Amino acid sequence: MKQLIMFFCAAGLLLSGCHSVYNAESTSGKDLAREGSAVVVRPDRYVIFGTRSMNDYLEVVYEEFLQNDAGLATVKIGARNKGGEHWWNRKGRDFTMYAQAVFYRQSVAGTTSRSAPLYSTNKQPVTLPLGKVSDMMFMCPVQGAGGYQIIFSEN
Amino acid sequence: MQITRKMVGIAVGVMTIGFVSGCSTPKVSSHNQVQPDEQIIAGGMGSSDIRTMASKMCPSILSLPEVANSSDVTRIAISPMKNSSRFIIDMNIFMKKLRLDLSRYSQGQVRFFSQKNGTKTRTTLLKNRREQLVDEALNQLADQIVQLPMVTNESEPITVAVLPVLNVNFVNMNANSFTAMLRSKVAERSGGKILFALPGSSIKTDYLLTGQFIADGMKQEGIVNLVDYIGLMEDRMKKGESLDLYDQSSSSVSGTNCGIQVNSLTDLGIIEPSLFRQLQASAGLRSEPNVTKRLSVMLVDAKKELAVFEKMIVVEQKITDGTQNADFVLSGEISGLSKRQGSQQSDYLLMTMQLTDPLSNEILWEDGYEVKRASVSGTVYQ
Repeated sequence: MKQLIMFFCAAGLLLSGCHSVYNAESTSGKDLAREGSAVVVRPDRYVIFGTRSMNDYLEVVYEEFLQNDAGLATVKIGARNKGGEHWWNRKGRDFTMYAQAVFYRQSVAGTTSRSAPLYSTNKQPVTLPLGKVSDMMFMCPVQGAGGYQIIFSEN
Repeated sequence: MQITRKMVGIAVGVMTIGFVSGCSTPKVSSHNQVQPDEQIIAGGMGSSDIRTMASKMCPSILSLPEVANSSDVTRIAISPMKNSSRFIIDMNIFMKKLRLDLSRYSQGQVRFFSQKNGTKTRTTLLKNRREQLVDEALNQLADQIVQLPMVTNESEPITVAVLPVLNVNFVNMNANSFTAMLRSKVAERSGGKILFALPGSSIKTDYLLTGQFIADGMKQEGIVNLVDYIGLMEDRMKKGESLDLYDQSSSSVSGTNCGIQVNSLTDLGIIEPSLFRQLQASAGLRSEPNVTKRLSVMLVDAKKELAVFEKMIVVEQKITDGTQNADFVLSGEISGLSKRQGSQQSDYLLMTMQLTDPLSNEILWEDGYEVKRASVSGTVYQ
């Protein structure tokens, strides 16, 4: 048995170096279609007990997409730190996250394919104290934006 | 059997750890590169703030009706940012980032002036072009002189003496070289209808070719009466004296005796040799001033002492950074409110940007970006 495990380990190590390049995995259309206009990036790591995901505390209060007089797309979004809603954490925490807006020519929500973005903002730090709504506004300096996606991440 | 169970248990444990650790983001980068948005060191402003500020303000400026609805390109001059915070920061970085974003996304609608970059190369290039332009202007001038009625209508060749060009400013310019070039070009084109007297010769001529060399905007300048000046030069020629106006050895250059009405520094320079030497030694006067220099060429009837032809050409155009054509001025300031208690300190930083109409001085647009940062140790920008 011991020899068998050793054999598989050695074989695995050898086989892992058989190819110099591998095909990069494409995101499936189903996965893309599931994405909405505001998404939260998975936490940097999961823990066995409890959660580190800010998605558990975050809720989008409002979301507006409009064009200003100059024809530039503007997104207004309000994110609230609703606090802890789990038995292991009912209080929640204050946290700082990053928000990035990516503008596309067409709406991306519910679509199975995606074009290259027209413009993306930098990752802007947003401080969310417990119970507060953070009002954010993103503008696209390039004309012709018809869709967007806001990405919230921890870092 | 017991060994096998133990090993299976270890394998399951390893696999569980593997699964759990598989959920974490793999650390791909191993060369200490970080995203510009990451704030690694606490306190003060960081790269993320600069990028966020530019990301917010760039579309805001492009949305202005004065910019968005303008049929022409919008030209913006940048004013250096003011730093009123406790941090010693390279203030250009804020403007550079905003300028970069505006240039990148305005698609040529917004333009800036290269206010400091490449100045030396540009100056060299313009000086090289200038020589070519002066040569062309002198060619045109020579053509015009040759075509004058007093030249074409005369059966006999006219005689012309060249008088030194009057340099109305104490600048280190050799204005006479231009008339020497002009004389040569006129002589070439006239086909013998215009004869020039030997420089310094006292021969009586029909006309005098002279002029004034004028430097715009110079503080150290004096105006000399042209008729008196011609009289002085004629007088000197007869006496066989130097034609250099500032030659102190010439007896006729002695205040009111020479008949020249001069003012201010020129006057003092001629009369007071010590002051004249002092002016000559002045670095400001020895260096070539960046002003528009014009040469007014005059063909003067020697008998009547009247200019029968006069033409002004630009010998040197002032080299500017172009900001006189700016529609708006972009300026900014960082203000700070800093507190310290023990090892803890906090900084509230407010960065404001303004777009001002230079003519009306109206603030067309203003926006701000504020941030408060806490830290336990001092922040030093390098």
